[in-house]
Amino acid sequence: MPNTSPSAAGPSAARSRTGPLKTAVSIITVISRVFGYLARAMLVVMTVAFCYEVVARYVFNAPTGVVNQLGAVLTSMICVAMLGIALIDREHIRVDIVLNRLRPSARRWAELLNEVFSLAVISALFAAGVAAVTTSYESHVQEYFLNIAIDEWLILLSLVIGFGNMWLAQLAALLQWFMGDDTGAADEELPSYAEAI
Amino acid sequence: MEAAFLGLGGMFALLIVLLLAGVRVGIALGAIALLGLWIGFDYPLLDGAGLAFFESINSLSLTAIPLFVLMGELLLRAKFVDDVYRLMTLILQKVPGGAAYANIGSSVIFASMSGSSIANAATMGTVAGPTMVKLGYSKRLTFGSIAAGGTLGILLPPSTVMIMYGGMTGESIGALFMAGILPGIIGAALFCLVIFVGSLIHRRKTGVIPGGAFDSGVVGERSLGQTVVSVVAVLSLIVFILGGIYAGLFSPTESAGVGAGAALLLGLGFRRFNLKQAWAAVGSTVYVSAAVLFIIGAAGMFSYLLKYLGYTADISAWLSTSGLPVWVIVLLVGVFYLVLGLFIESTSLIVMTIPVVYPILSSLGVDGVWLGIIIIILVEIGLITPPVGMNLFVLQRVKAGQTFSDIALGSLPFVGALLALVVLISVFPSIVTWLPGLSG
Amino acid sequence: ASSSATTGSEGEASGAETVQFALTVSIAGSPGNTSVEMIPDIVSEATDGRVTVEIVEDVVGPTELLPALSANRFAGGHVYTDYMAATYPAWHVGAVPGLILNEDDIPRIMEEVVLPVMNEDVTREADATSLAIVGTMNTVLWTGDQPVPTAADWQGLSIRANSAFTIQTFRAQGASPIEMPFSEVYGSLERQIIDGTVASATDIKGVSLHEVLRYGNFFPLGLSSNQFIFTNSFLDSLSDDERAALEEGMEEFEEGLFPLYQEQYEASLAELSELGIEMVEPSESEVEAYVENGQPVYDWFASEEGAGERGAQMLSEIRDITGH
Ligand code: NA
Ligand code: NA
Repeated sequence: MPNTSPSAAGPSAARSRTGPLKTAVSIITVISRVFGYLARAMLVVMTVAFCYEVVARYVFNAPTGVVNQLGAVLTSMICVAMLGIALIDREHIRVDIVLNRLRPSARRWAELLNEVFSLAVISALFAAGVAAVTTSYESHVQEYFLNIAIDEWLILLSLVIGFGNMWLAQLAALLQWFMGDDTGAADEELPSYAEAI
Repeated sequence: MEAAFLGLGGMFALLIVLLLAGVRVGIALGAIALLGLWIGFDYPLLDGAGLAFFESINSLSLTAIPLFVLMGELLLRAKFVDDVYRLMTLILQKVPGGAAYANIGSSVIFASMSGSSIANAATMGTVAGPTMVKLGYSKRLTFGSIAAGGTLGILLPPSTVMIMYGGMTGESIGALFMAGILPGIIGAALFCLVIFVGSLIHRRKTGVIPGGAFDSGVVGERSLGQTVVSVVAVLSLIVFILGGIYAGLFSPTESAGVGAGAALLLGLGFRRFNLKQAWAAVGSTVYVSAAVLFIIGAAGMFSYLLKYLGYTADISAWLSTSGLPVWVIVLLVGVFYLVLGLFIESTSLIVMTIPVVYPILSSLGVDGVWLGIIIIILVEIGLITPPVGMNLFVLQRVKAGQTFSDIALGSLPFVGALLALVVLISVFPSIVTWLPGLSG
Repeated sequence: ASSSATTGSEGEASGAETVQFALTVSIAGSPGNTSVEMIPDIVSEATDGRVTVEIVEDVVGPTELLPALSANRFAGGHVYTDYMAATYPAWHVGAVPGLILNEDDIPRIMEEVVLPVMNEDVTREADATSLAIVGTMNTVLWTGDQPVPTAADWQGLSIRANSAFTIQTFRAQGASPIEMPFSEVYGSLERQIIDGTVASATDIKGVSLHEVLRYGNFFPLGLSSNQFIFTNSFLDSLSDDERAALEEGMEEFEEGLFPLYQEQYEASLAELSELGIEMVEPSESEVEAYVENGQPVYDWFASEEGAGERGAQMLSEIRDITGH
């Protein structure tokens, strides 16, 4: 089933031994959640902008013409800003039908393998982001944001930040595994629609 | 040539292994892409892969995804679907099997305000599942029809899968939306036919045709008048959004923005939620969007690798000189999707196959919009076939005493209906091309 | 088709090898495609069949070509300067409004002013050399609903822009530039989100834009060029004879291109007319008004955000050649 954590586990048991780890996980979670709120704000801005554009076109006869650009940039920013928190809250799409049929102990080891593998892949993604920024920096490519020329590498930097955040979140997931709580921090209020996709 | 088939086959096999091992879809695609670049090339291509990821998600077309998800999310929280379902069951209460037809009818309406099949099935499952079972409908018919009705979510516009397909191939999203309407309606009609036959069989076994017995309490806490008003409001919104795209008043993306804005106003206006709950809808939307966009970005890397390898060009070149008729190739592609659809979840299925299938088939002269609709129906079949069928999974969570095999077996006749739809569209392509042709 | 760029083993010209040549923007039937298809034969002939060229379409975009060449991913590649205006504004000097009005000046301007600047960039960014370059004046303002017979008609038009250069050019005419990727142009014209777009006449049919366009408006939008670049490491991997033969072959190729492009341009215009697109020729005085309005672009071009000091230098050198 996608995105759903198995029945929520209680608070981590061996609290004393895992104190520093727990702090690290909390810090990563807070950083990721801040990015998550940024993404929400960007979605609101985007929705308002598109509504305004249509009204401006038909009512004021004065479309801005920049809303499409704004939307494209914000959509990508929403994605990169959410990479970390979506991972922490187990919202990235996966199929765990096979895992669900394993014995709990086997499943736990399979999950460890999965987390380590993912950490390696995300490291490579991060490297790809850094390489893209470096190349773009060296080749002076420019992009247009609201009709203002801006160096592309500056925009691509967001990708590096997003992947970096995702890497930290994956590290947190790994730490949680070692703390014996690999169910993820379930988000307070995620109703059926979001869970379903 | 052999290199292309072997290489592609190897990559797909590895992908399926990773996916079944529970690796997140985007991570699996990214792993294949980066591994392929690393093994296949003795020079660094990392920068290009990073750029490919960013450019895939930084696209004007994909902007519609978060906006349509938000619209669906708001309308869902406003519980308009419940109203639609209640009204339909009320109208159909004298018809044998009425609640099952109401189920399909409500799915059509819900599909027109949301872009996701899984959300559609999840919602209808909660709204209709337990009630129908209580009324004496067989669990198979109940959950089969809900799972099947749910698949209409990606075939009837708006559709996140169409947006992804359009974004990846450059086909017009507006045209894809229009192209999905007739097949969606015909599909719904075929589902009704399945229910009709199913009800007859049920009667032969049990002597009763279920249905009818709804009491007036079904309308719930709202009066009939209130229910009618809210249903009319939602229908007007759908007509406005789709009509606006059709008439060229706004682009699909703009319509998504306007739709989200209007859904907010409707929900607040009908006092179905407050601003705090609307903000929660924004919250779940960003999760859903990011999950989908991450996969699209990773698929962009995969597609970048494929372009470098030149496999798809090799295969199209080989196919075009092979003398195989195009319809045979399309048929093979169809079988390929049916097989993959058994195991692979819908978003991943689309993003991992389109970079291969689209260039090959379009170079053979296959119409891109028609192909998109066929692929979407094939993906819908995957949604309701075990072992991996997302609609089956979400319905398992509805508490009405049904088992997984109830849902899966109940869905089987509807798989037949969707296959019939594929055949119909292949024999009469104008079912797909007629409507977009009118607006263009 | 794995590793195929040369590894740059100097002077070694023995065994057979396959290299890749990148076509950054592939449009069926366009001059770019037609000419790139000739490259394999030229290389094969120069190396007596030793080196095979494989053309790779759409793998890297125009702005990614030089970095890709510098990483030795390809032995060479083709770009349109139109697509490079964002990164290398100086390359776009020929499109400064009214700077070049006479086609006969083009070869000399390319050879003496533009090519040295381009090669300076190409060498610095990618350790590569342009072996052929040809300028064309095929760019046209295409509009959907409104014909643009006068300079004043540009006023208020929303036109698709893709670089700071085009934004400056359209603003100077009082139009509103709207930046969008090429893939969105068709739909935006269809829904009248933009009124028009600037494109080579030879590209319109290949991307079906004729379905949503009604007018071609012939203002002197100036020169754009096609460049055929090879990496120095590839050139160094050839024997002296092979290299000389390749340079000669590319020179011949270059000479043949201008007439070929003109031919394709005329053919495209005829085909588009047949498809119902109306060709609008502004009068001489309107062209003068257009050039007049375009004056701010000169200042911009010579400014820091434009091509900078090099830009100013190029402008004055070109004016020496054109004499106006
Ligand atoms: Na839909
Ligand atoms: Na399936």
